[in-house]
Amino acid sequence: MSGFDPVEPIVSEIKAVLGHSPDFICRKVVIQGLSHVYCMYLTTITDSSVIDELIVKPIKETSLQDNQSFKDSVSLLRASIPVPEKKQIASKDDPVKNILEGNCVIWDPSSQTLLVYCTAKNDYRSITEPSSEAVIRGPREGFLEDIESNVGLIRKRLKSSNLIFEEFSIGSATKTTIYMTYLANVADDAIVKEFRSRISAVQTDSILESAYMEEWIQDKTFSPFPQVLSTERPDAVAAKLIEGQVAVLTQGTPMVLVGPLTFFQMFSSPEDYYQRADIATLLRWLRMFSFLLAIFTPALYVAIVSFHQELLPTPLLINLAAQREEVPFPAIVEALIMIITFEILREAGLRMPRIAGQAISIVGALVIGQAAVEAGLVSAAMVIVVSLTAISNFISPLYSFGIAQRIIQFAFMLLSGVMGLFGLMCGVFFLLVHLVSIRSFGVKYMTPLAPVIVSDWKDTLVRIPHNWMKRPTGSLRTKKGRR
Amino acid sequence: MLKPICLWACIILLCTGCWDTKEINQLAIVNLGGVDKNPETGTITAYYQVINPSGLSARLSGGQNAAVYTFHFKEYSLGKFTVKTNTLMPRQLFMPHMQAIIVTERYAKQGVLDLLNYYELSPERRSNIVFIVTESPLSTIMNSYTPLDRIPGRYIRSLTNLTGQGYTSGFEPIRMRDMIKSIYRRKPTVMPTIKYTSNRSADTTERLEEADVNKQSIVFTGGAVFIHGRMVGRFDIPTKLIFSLLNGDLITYVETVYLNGSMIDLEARDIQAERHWESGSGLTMKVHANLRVINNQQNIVMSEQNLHAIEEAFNKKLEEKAQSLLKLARQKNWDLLGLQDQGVEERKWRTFPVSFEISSSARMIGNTIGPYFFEKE
Repeated sequence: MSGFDPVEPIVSEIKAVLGHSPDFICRKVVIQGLSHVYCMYLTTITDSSVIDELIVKPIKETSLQDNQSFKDSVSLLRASIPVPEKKQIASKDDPVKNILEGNCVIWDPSSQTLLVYCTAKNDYRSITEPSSEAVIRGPREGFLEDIESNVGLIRKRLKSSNLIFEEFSIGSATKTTIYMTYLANVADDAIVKEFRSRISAVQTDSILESAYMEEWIQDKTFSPFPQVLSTERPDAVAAKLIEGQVAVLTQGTPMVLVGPLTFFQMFSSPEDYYQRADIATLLRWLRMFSFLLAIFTPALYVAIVSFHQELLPTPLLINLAAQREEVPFPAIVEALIMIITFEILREAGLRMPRIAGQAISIVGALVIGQAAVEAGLVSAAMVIVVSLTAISNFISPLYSFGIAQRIIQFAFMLLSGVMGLFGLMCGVFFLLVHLVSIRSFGVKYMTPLAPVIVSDWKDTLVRIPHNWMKRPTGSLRTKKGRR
Repeated sequence: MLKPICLWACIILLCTGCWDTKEINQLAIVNLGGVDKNPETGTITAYYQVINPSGLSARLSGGQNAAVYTFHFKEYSLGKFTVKTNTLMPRQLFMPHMQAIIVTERYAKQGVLDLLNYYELSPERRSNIVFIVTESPLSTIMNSYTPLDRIPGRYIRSLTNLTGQGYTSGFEPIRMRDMIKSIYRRKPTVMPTIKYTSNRSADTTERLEEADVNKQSIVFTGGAVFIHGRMVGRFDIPTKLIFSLLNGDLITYVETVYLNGSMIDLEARDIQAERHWESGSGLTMKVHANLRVINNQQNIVMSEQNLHAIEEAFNKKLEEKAQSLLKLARQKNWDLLGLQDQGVEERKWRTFPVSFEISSSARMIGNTIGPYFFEKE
């Protein structure tokens, strides 16, 4: 029964296009000895039981005599097969694409028709808690690699007819399905149009993860700062859509992109909205303070210890001087040694198997802890500086923002090492100029501080109670006047 | 080819900042300075008391090493000392953390304008350091260890900070910058004077093992009167207090009065010294203080009449002291009330009529309204 008929040219062509792939199957199914059709699919990505039970078996059991009422064989097939038909196609290019998507393509030689049935395997993991964005209070659901499930997760939260999904297929090799989603009655048309045009303009061979898309659609390539929010949390995406933002879902990854993103949004976490407003505000301030600590602590330490000792109170100066008595390196080298060591440990901790993580922790504690101080390689104050920097760095709710902080921290540290506080101030000015120059889909990155939009401070610098948030943020120019 | 050269040039330009680098462990952190000038030869001797950080850190040294080392150098010019220190000091001289500068009485009497000018010109040096005149030999003071606070500079600074609590601004105007600010004024500036209680300096840490602090210690004795940067005389501590009080600097002090043959200590608080200029009658200084009885040795129960009597006694005592200060000013030709700075002509200020109106209100706070006593049988 299996195999293919060499006399059918279309089958031969498909086989040739697919490079005689071993998982390509073409089954000739005879209908009551009177007629026959060909079922073509890839076994590795299709559900064989669906094909056997719901396509092949009904076709074989169909009796042409019993179904005289059907005017042609295509109508008969449609009536026999209980699987919903995806579409009928005509050209010979389409069957290959459909087969590659995990569909079963049926070729009816008598009517010269191709019918496509959805038989793709759904081998995806179950919904779990997002590992990169854990919350204490809030939903535990995270996106999956399956884009259809992700759409479901969003739809479950936004039961609105205005929720629009626009489909794109991007990547000449991967043909990745991309969904752009927004609330039509809220999102600004200009932003939606901008998203649409940028996604349509992507010319690449592959999109394997949403990061590929991020690079293609972001405004500024050479910037350490993320210009699109990437999240695993459907509740966060739903909240952003309600605010008038646009989300981009990518097949094969649980990370969903949301834009436009502004600088101060990176200090807010989905959890901010699941707890009291005052607590959320304090936590937001804590994150902002931690950002400053992360980028300035090592730089200030190096600048003050190497250039501006007069700024220190005398007892602290004496303590630092006593600690650094036996340290053989200048402060900048000491700082670089410690911070690079910490970065290596952090990277190793991420990449190593979980079971080896404990070993890394022990070695890490020894290397950048007491042993390094006792060996006279670094001072105890430096250990505190590095620890404080590292912990502050982890507070960022957005992982990519944490990486940006690390880059700035190194730049500032080097500037401080060569030019002291003057260098650090130069760095700060460069950073500010860079930040105000960024746009995210037409929205200024430093909004609502530059330009000043006081009404937007209610959900950036602070988080006011929900019942006071009558209007959406002004920076997004949403359509709705009230929430 | 041009691009890499430009890039390297930019990187090298960045490195110019490194020329200013001074690592913290390469610094000789000076905590106390001392200057003497020989009036005959003009030779200046500068003392630098440098902190030994590892000696101060109990973790590194066990707490027994020398906390400071004193270096001294001789030169004819103040500007040469920084270079001169390289002949003996293995670290770079670092002056911003100096707490106090001590000058000898003989140098102060020659005038310290050269020192003030030198400090004002030097960005490395701060003028907010405490300026002190020593009656004892400078070498004795500078080569001595101090108890409780092992850094002598900080010891002196702590003492002056404590005395500053009764002053309007929270600190006594005894910093070098206070003298600089009033350099063109006719009113004298009063800087503290100290002496060492022994002829021999406590120059080893063995001194820290001795319990008797008074045996070898720095003690404040009064004030050195400076006019236009030159020391012209001395005050004892009570005179210095009245001087500060009448000039509106002091708001709290303790006064002892005698009433019914018994001693009463009063804490004068919230002192307000106001000047009222009246044409014809001259200057009237109105001083008001709130009094709190802190020690009462009278053998009577406290009453309202007695409190008024205490107020009267205080007013009288303070007026006597004020008159005494005025007399001293006229006698020594020191314009202690700063009359000339407020428009009184130079030839008239000594005869300018000044009167004092002292008022006070006393309160008694405590568990009892009078002391415990027994009638003599």
